[in-house]
Amino acid sequence: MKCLEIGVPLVSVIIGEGGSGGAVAFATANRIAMLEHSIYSVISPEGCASILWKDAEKMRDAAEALRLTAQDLKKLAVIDRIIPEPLGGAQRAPTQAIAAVGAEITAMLAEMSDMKPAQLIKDRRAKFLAMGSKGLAA
Amino acid sequence: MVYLDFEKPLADIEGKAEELRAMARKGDGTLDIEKEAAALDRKSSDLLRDLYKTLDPWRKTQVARHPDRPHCSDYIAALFSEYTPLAGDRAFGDDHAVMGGLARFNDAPCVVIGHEKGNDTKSRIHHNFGMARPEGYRKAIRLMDMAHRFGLPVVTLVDTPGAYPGKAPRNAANPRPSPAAP
Repeated sequence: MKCLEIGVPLVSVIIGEGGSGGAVAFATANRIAMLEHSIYSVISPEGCASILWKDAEKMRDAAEALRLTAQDLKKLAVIDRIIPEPLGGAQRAPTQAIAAVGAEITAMLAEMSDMKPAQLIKDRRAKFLAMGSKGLAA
Repeated sequence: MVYLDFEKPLADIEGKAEELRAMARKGDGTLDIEKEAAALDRKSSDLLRDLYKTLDPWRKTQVARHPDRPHCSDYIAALFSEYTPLAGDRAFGDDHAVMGGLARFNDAPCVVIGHEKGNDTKSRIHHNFGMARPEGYRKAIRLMDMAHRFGLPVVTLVDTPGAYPGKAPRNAANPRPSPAAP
């Protein structure tokens, strides 16, 4: 909740796993970016599968249904930007991946450079209230 | 290099190329070996491109959890200067799953906060696999308050399997586990 109250620019990058409340506590930001192969979800695929189907082995179906990929979340307007990763994922060329993240943070902070504190708080609130209004149907 | 299960064919090819090169280095190498290895390299990079062109959500999950992925501390070390870690929640203790503090990004002061998972068994246990406890979130709140007070932008780096689902939540009002009943 603190994230929603502070009058300074808040940018968030999901660099690997964005698991549940643990993630959203940090990602209640004005601008949210995700690395191309990162995930952001209310629950892990294994957890979801074991609750819904009493079978953690169905994590493939759960991963599909959870819409946890950066590509799906961009379509749903939960996140703002996708940061491309080097071929084969960030682990194959960490320096390149880190530099790409740096460039995106710079760009996101620049977008907010002349926003007033009250404006920043309003912007963040509006962003989260609007989530869910954009569907995958389009 | 850690290979994910769907990368197994890739591991085979890259392993073979490496083997051939090792043979060549031993001296019994002819020009053919290098040619052969180069062909394998081409094959593996084609395969890599194919594999990553269409990753299904489960495979993405596996990549997102890849142990060799750069973690929060790597990003902070590379992108921020004068990083000064701040520890503790002023109530209970410090949470090593959450790291954060003051730093400069492109020379401008800011506050950076993130989850750290660790890179080997020892550091993973130290960081509790990136699963934050209440004190970690209180630390984050403290840092955000500070950012607000000084007008500093906040950058957060998210990388956590989730909050730590431990029993007996510890809060600021009751920071210590309650003493045994008399």
